[in-house]
Amino acid sequence: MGTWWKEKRLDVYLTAVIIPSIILGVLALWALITKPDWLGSFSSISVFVSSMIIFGLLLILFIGSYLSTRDVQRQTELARLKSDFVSAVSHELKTPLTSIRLLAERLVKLTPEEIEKSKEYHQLILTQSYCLSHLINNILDFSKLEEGKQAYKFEKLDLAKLISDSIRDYPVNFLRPDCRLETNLTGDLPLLYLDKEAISRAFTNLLDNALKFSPPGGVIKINMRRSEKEVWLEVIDQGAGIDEKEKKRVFERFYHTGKGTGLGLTIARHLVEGHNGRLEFESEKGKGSNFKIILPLK
Amino acid sequence: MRKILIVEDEPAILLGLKDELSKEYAVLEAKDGKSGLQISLKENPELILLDLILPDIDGFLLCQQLKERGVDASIIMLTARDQLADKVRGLELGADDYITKPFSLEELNARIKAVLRRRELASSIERYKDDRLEIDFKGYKAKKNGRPLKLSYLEFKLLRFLIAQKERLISRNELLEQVWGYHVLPSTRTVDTHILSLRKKIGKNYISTTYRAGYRFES
Repeated sequence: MGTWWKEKRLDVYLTAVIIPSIILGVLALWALITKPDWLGSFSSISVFVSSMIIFGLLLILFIGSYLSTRDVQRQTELARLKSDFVSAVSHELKTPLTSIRLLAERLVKLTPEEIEKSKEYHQLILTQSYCLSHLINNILDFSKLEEGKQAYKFEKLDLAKLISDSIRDYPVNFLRPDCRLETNLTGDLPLLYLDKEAISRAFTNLLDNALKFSPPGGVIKINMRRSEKEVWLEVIDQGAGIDEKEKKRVFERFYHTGKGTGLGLTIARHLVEGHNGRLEFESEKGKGSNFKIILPLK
Repeated sequence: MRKILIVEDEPAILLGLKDELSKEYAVLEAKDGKSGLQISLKENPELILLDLILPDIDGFLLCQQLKERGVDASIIMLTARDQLADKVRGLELGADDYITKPFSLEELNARIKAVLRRRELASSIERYKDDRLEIDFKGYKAKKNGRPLKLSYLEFKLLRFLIAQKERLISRNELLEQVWGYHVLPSTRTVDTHILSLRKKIGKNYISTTYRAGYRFES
């Protein structure tokens, strides 16, 4: 049986029940009003009660039908998003793979006069390999989160150093040489209990989005500040910003606005929440976005 | 040197393609659809390598716009999408070939040469005229008995190919490959449908059928 009732067959079944119910209900109402001779000894009260029971039944069936239709719509939307996700992942995987293959083939074919190009090709191959492994790690992380198998290894760490190391390892200059990164990671922070990889992944997912959506020449600011109880790590970009309608959906799995796979923010939020923190954002269409990882100090 | 325009937003792919092709061709580059369209109109390249996912416009739409604006370049689509429906859509919109990422430089070079060869063959004629029919293949205009005749882009392309090889019997498979650019032949009646439509428009005596062998243009 499984989830058969979630499928469209239920609509067919309900329709088959509802139509005769409507006919019965209308008949009962007609009998209540006109009291025809063939009713014989039945009192008007019993006709009224039976018609109310039929209408009640009808109402339950209508609500059931509405809920099942809504559920089917949700399932259809999820199936569409999944299919879209496969297509997006395929594109995101094939693009760096194409770059690596093209440049590796070019390296093999380089003539002595072109040899100075080899350094640039090597660097691009390294950058593209980084993009590939970032995507594959995101897919693996997502799979762990979906199965509830994400395990955290907390240790006392300096958040500013962790973020500064993540920025150093991220090939910003090669991915978006036209963009500038401004960092302000100073702040009097105590050591925090963090999972190094999880926080680094959450942060680089935000940085990756900021780079993807930044306009040519854009500035990305990375700020850290604290209150008495919390620390805020902000990634601020000057990109296209998020539409009001899309704001509700940005953390939904598979949801994306044309670039990426729709996993980055979902994963980032899960990982931050795994630290009893919050991932929040402010965004204005056409002006940019500010994504904030907020972590408790204790 | 023959001009090739690369419309691709991924810098590493653009660099690899540009370095590879610039030995044999004059290479132009565009990183988005808008500049791709502008450069095409201004520079009139012979071939456009068109990435389907661009930052500002869908590649299919750009392909359509290029054809609508009268850009005469042959188009090879470069894409990660490998579904048959996407390939057919691209080819129906006027693309000449379709390469799925990741591809090898050897394959790309071979495809470029094949498309340019087909282009040479087809563009060997620019006009056709007899006492009833008048066709301007460059301006995509046609007249029958002095009255304007509406032909689709693919019909112009098919007719041009048939006329370029007047009196030669051409198989359906060759037409599919040379005019549509299908390498893996889908089970399709598309050639027959287009021939039928052409016959209705230009007159049935121009194109003859040899059963199970193919079609021939007869003046």
